[in-house]
Amino acid sequence: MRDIFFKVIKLGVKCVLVMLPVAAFPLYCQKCMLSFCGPDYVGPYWNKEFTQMPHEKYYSTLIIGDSTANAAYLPEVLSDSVVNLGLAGSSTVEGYYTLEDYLANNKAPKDIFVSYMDYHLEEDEFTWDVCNFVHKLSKEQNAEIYKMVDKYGAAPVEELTSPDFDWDVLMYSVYSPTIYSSSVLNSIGSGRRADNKASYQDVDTRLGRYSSITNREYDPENVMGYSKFKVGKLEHEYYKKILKLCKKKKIDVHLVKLPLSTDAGFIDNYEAEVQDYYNDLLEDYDNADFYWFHTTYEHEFFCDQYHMNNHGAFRFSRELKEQYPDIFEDNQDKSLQRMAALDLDIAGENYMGELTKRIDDKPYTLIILDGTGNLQDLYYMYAGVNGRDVQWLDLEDNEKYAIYYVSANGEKFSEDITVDATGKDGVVVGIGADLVQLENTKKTGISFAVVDNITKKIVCARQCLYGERGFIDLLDSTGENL
Amino acid sequence: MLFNSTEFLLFFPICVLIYFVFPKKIRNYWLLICSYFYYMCWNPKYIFLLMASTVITYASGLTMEWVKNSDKDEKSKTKLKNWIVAISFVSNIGILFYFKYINFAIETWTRIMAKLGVTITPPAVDVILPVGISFYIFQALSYTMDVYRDEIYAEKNILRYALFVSFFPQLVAGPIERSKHLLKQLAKPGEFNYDNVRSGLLTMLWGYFLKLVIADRCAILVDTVYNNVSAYFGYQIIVASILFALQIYCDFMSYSTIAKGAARVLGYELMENFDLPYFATSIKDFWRRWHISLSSWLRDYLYIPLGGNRKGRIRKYINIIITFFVSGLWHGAAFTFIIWGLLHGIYQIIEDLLKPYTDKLLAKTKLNPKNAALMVLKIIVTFILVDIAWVFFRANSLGEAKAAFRNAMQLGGLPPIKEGLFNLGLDQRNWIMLGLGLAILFVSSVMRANKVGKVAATVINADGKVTTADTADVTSSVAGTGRDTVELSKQGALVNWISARFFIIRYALYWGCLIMIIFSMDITGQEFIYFQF
Repeated sequence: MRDIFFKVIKLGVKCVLVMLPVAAFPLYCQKCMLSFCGPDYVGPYWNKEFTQMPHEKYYSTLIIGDSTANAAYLPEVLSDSVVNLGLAGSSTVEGYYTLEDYLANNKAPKDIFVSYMDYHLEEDEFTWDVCNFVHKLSKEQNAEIYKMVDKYGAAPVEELTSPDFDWDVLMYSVYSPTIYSSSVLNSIGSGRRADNKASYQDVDTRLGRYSSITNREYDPENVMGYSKFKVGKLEHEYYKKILKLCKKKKIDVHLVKLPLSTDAGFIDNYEAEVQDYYNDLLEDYDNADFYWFHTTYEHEFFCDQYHMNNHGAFRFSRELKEQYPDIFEDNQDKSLQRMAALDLDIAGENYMGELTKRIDDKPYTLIILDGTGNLQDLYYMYAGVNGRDVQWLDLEDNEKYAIYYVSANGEKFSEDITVDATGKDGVVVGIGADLVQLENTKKTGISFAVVDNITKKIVCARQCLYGERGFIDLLDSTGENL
Repeated sequence: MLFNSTEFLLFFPICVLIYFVFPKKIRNYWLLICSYFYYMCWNPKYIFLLMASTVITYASGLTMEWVKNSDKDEKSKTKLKNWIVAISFVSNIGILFYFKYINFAIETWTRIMAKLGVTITPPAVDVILPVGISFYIFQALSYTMDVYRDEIYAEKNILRYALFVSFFPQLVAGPIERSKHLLKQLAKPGEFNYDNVRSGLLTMLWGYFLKLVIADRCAILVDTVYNNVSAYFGYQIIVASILFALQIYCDFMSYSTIAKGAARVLGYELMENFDLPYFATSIKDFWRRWHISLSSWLRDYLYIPLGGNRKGRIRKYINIIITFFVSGLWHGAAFTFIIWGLLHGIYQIIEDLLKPYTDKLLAKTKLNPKNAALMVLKIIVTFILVDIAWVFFRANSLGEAKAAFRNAMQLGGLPPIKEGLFNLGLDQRNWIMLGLGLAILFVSSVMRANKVGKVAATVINADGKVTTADTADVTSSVAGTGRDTVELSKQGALVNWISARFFIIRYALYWGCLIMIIFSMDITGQEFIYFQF
């Protein structure tokens, strides 16, 4: 008997040793999600992390919605205490749990903005698998989803979520290889870790925005007619849950219908149906309003039929700020976090006009190297719109070029910025450890660097070509197209 | 509950733990409960079919035993026994026919009548094929035949007999066990044996490796091509066909291996179902190595009773054709399976007809029949013939099989192999994993063929007790202990070789194997191919 006992123990120990990789796998998945997950999971993963942890900083406004909302709302433009919690592919289902998680860990915001495109309200399609993959949904939330889908879903739970709901929830919760092994295998040698970390950092810096970050312009093929507005039962119920939760937490809710591109046409009773639906929905909620941006934006403000590109998002955010001035009254604050997001916006710009709009009157300094003698054109076309004067930097005589600066917020030239003009063909601009070379582009245009006075970083360096129509194309500092 | 499901990975340890905790007397009853539970997890109502087959064959055995011991004359005894066997066969085959072949028969009959200009609209029979029905019915019938032939005594304990028919490791996809082998072991409940459990678990691990790393990966490419065969040509069809040969081998062998390992953990030894079939040097040799439990069943209970090769060459060939026709039909109610079976029958006949000439050629050229190059050539030729037959087996219809052959001949206008192979469902990483898996399988097969490592031996004592041991131990102790059955298990060559390594190497290999399994776990979650039979 004793012999058998020891043999059983020996066998058990050996089994545990042999099975170590099975135990190590979930541990790896849990600790190193960004090392293996696909690029589409980075945004939801950030969203999960953000909503499931307490934050020292108080965010007075939250954005909830789908990818169109995630693309359209620029927190850094709106105010210093906005965060965009929109999730690509999501409906009100995930929106509710995003809010629930955030409120469970943080002080309630004053306002939330909720925006969903029609198709995410009409069809019972949501990101159940993605949310579970990143462990965004708790066991209780999954159980509630099951009940709600079972009761209000247009199709059976199996069809809308998984053929084996409970089992899959369990498999997700234990990071089972049956769910995660392909991702881990595909990540080997693919450089996903570095890419995902950079993407994660990017989402973090942009305060939750990760959809349609592009300047690509939409090229519509035909007119998109909107004739019917319908909200699915499930989405309607979750809309109500969002409103109830906000009422309970004394949060003002603003349901915003986003602008569409000019190829959209509202026909039949569409507009009346939209208004009727929201009137009915908000009947019992004094703390909520519905606002429809009836304005349509030109195609160049969209990257596809529904999603605004960077320029569209910038325009929309500014208009929203004008629409709700009381909510975004704290927009004078320029925290490091907000400036870092603005830096990314500026660095991603490929139009001079858009770039100067983003700089606006914020604490940036432009160092300009002009070898053309036509700076006045640039000044009037772009820099001048901010009403700031271009100042000559009195460094030393140079026949080839002149050096100027513009302080966007009108403050005096920062002592932290260094400009070394001793070089042959250009100057070296620096702030802290950040240095950039501005080359003399006499034949083609001017060179300039944008310096962030708050984060003490050089945001970007550009060359602006001078042609028959004045300064037009924006190139990077080496003269390559952006 | 599939072997490759998480449910089974929970079910099995619980089953084993309680099995060994229970007193010996009730262990088999526990196994019977587990076996019935295992079967009912698929569809509870079909347990009645399993019970029906069990009761019929159990009763037929007892009745035959009673007839044997009665005072009747031999002629009457034989007549009565024939009737009992006939009733057992007809009722069991009847069940099988209804649940597996009724729609095929109706459809075929309708087609024949339509060709003759008679339109009939037969009633639709809505039946689901009960999982494992072909396996347990054949196993139960083998018992009837063995009692009939006086090769065993009829089992009196119905629960033990029920366990023999429903023993969960091999219930749904074999091996089709023989009463002489398994029923005898069940007479004595398994005891906890460290070596058995360890070897059984490692054998199961190897089975999972074959299924998840190789078979399921092959399945992705094979399904891509064969589910849209008209869209693929040349090397794409050829690669898919070769991979199907590997898929079905690894898929089926993995099931048998896991079954064998699971049974060994419980203290029982199942028969070998495969013996390196793709190392076969002829079609006849292939059938000695492929699905051994079925081919030996067909040999013992069909081919030999039909007369085998004892009644002249023509009858022998007819018997071969009948046997392979039944083999094809056993696999599925479709003409593709029948053609597959018949093709193998024709191969064997041609092989037999050509044998005198090939022997003469060998004698003339004075070539050693054991010459390595000649053996390799034979292996390749046999594999090609087998693989051609597999096309019928895998194709969704005869038309698609024809299209596969036609398209395989079209070699022009295809993307370069390097690009084209990655567009068939497997990306580069999965090709690497598959290649690695196949390399390990090849090495293990070569080791097994060369009997590298200590060859495990299964020793079944006169009282049915099973143990495994090294061959050296067996040979030295057989005479003294009265052990009456010794089976050499060549399958454990790799497992035994690994077991003899230094522990760092050993664990590195275990972990390597396990990591490959982990990286294969979410590929498709495919069922075992032989479940459908």
